[in-house]
Amino acid sequence: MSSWALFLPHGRLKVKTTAEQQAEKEKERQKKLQLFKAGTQKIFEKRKIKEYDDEGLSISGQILQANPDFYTCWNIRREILTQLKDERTEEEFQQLSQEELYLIENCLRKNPKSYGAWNQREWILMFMPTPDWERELQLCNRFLDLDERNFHCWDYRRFVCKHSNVGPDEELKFTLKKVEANFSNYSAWHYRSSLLPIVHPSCERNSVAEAILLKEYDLVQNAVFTDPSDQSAWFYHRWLLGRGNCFIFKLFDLDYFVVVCVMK
Amino acid sequence: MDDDLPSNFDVIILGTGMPESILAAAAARIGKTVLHLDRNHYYGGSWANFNFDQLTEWTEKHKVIPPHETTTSLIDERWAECLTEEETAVPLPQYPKNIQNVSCITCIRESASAKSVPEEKVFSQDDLEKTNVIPSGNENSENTEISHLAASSGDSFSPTDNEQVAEAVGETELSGITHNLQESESSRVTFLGASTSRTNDVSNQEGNGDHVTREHQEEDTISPDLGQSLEEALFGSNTSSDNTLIQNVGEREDSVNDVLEDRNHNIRSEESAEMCHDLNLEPSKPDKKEWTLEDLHTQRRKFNLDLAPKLLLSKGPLVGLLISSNIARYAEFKCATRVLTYINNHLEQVPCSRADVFATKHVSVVEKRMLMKLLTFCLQFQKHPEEYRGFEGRPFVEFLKSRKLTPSVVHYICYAIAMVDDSVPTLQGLTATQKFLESLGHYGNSPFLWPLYGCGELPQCFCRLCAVFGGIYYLKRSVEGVILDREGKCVGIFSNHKRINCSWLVMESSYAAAEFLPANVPERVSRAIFITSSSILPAEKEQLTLLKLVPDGNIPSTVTVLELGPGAMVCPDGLYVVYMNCPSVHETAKEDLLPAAELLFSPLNTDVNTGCAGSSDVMEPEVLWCVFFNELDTTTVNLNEHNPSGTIITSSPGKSLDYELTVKEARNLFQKMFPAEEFLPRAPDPEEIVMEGDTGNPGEKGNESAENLTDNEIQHPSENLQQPEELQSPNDQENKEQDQHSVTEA
Repeated sequence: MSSWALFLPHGRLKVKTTAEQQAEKEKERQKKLQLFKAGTQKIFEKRKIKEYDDEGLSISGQILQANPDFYTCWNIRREILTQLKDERTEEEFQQLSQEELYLIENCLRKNPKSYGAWNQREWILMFMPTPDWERELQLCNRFLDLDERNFHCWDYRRFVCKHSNVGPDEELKFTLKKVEANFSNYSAWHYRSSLLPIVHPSCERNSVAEAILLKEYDLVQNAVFTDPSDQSAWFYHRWLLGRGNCFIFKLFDLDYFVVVCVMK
Repeated sequence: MDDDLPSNFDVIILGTGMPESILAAAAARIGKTVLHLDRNHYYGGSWANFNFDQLTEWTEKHKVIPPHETTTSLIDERWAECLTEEETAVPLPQYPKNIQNVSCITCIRESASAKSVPEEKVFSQDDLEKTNVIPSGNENSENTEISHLAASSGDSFSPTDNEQVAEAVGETELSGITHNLQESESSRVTFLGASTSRTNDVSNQEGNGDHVTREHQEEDTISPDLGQSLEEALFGSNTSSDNTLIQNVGEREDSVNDVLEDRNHNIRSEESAEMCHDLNLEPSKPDKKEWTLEDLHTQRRKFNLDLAPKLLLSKGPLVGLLISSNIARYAEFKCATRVLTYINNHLEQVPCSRADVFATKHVSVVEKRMLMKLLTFCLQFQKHPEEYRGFEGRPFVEFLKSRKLTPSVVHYICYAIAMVDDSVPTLQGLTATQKFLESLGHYGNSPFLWPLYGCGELPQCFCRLCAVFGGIYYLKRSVEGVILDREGKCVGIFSNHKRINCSWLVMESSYAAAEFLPANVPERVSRAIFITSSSILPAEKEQLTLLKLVPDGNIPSTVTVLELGPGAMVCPDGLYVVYMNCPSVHETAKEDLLPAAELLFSPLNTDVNTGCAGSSDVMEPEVLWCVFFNELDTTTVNLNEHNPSGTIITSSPGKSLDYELTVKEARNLFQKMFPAEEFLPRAPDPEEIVMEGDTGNPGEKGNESAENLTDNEIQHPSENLQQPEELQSPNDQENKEQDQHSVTEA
């Protein structure tokens, strides 16, 4: 099998036709479907008789890798893991949790916006003996590189930061990096708006120091001048301006339309 | 004389450069029998890629002025025996003169201890391996062997049906393998801090000569099928900003601008002060290493130095061809990360994508708006002819100035984005800008792709496809003459005293006899390769840089500069490779390119004994080693006018930055040779091939599946360099992909 040229009578390869390929694919699909059905049945049976063991983990894991959005399946895993936490030593359970994290990661790669998977990840990190928060932050970085607007991941990132002493100032820098890479990013701008009052508080409650506000204004001004038709920057612009008096905000709202028109 | 080469081929191709290789692949793909020869012992000819020792060897070889052709003595009696009465033979040049004025400068000491630098030829293990790995018909010896390309160079090709040869090669390689293992193992420990994870990869390729040190770089590599995820980074995902409101708001815009501008100037100066501060930190690294020539030789395999470096436009014809022909799977690419320009006596990053324009600190917000507006217009300038009416024949630069753009914006667009000079007319400038912008954002923040491990990979990708479809490869095999019939049509060649017949003879211009070529080829390209100690504009991350230098007092013609770092797989950690080329003006490349080098680098240290590289604390990068040479540029003349029928002459790399002309040339020539045939239809993937024992109706509609498969089905990039030695089961591939994606591994 090491050679293609064996199948080359006068340079013509024999190639499968489309129909052949489709038939093959269909066969594969049917096979997978049967496995999936059988697996699902099996774990439901096991749950009924409260048989929580490694086999259950293995089967549900396979099912979830095929379909990460199968909520019940994640719940079954939680039941199993909760039970196993009492049965196993801490070391063993740490190992199990690591495997769980690995599984979730695989599922997230399949569907980076799976509610169930992100939820399970938060749960296991709170549940496991020694979570590695640094690694989780790296994971967020990677997923946000792949899709900078994945709000699941942004939420998860806040969860990680809360539990791992990541300073809001570092996060502020991170949002700037993301905005600079692509400022069409509501999540990043929004996160920024929630971090600024923490990092640069002013004497007023829940407000931001004036100098910083001006700097932010300059940043967003660069964005709208670059692409006035991008909404996300205008949202942030509005947040910046709308922080003070309600009356001014209303007044400005009128002008706002004018400004947008002028820009175009 | 007595080799096993068949004596009849549909197509014989001389030279393994880019256009020849594309033609070879295209001909083999439609079932023609192809014999592909190269006079050198390496692939690529003028498009080749070398490690450091191979490049020094090449330099030494070409420094020697080639002797005059002794045409008469070449006409051997043996030729006459092979010719029929009506046939004549035309000798081909044996000493090509396409490379001239090779001049090499070493600016570092021979070794850490050495005091003087005697000119010395270093003979390396590579040279020995090369003769082992590449089966070659030595011109003088009779002891020749045939091999399919796939068997011949172990580094990127899998064995084909010629298993005997493959085995034989395998045996000779064995001796080299252990040596390589030890050597590269130790060098990795010494020079590469964190490379332990790469071992598995290396072990696969260990026995394969030159490319032992290649590692897959997973994160940053891309292949032309990806990029959807980057859609958001695209320039102008919302470029259709309407112009309807423009008429009346002009005045208002100005007033708003005035207000904004003042503030903006303040902030700009603040920020540029910050920038300078950052820059100052960069060059004064305390642990700057002093490199010696010995170090370069020790790490020779980490170099992949190109004779003809080029970039691929993401939407250009080569990327299109690589995808449509399914050859993309043989290569990996990386996106160029920045375009620089030289303005106001310093280097500056040109804001070309939306993200760049937003982030740049070199232009005011008002300029940003002007720039974005103009770029948006250029992207679909055909729809708005009224915008440039009256400027069609006038220079592009005048059109830009008429748009009330500031001088720096005009400079960015004209010299860095359109990359045209002052004389280019508006329509051409607009088209160039459009081409640039259309390619932007498909795979990253610049319109250009760089093939990892160097451009020399690309011809080999096509050669490989040719070999897969039965083409026969023979390196280090020269051709003495062409056989013409009574009508003057080419019917075959003499090679190594053997007559081989063909219907078509394709030859790279340096192979062709003088009488086949246009009377004179006036144009030449000046090229230079520099190995430097740091980047021309240091940044946080390693950059892949394109820079065009506009002609001025010192710089005689537009110089294209490419800077690549270790991440592009062209040099060891801590070094950079800078390529320059420009149309020749002076007699030698050195005269043409030295001014550009002086602009970007600290003065070349020619007295290696006194100053040692790394000692001074200047900002500019220091050149450790460099080579200058001129190359005949045959892209500007019509090569296929004076040649005998039945022959095709292909051009040299030329001065263009991308591969557009090359692909166009190959396509046109193919159509001339085989008018009714399809040019490089999609090659099947291994799993689409009917294997022995498979059921199904073989031999039917071989190419039909091609149309139904889209670009998206191209394999994952990290698999691209993997050899289909064994056809993988889908499961294997899945696993592999998972491994490569694993976030945790990093």
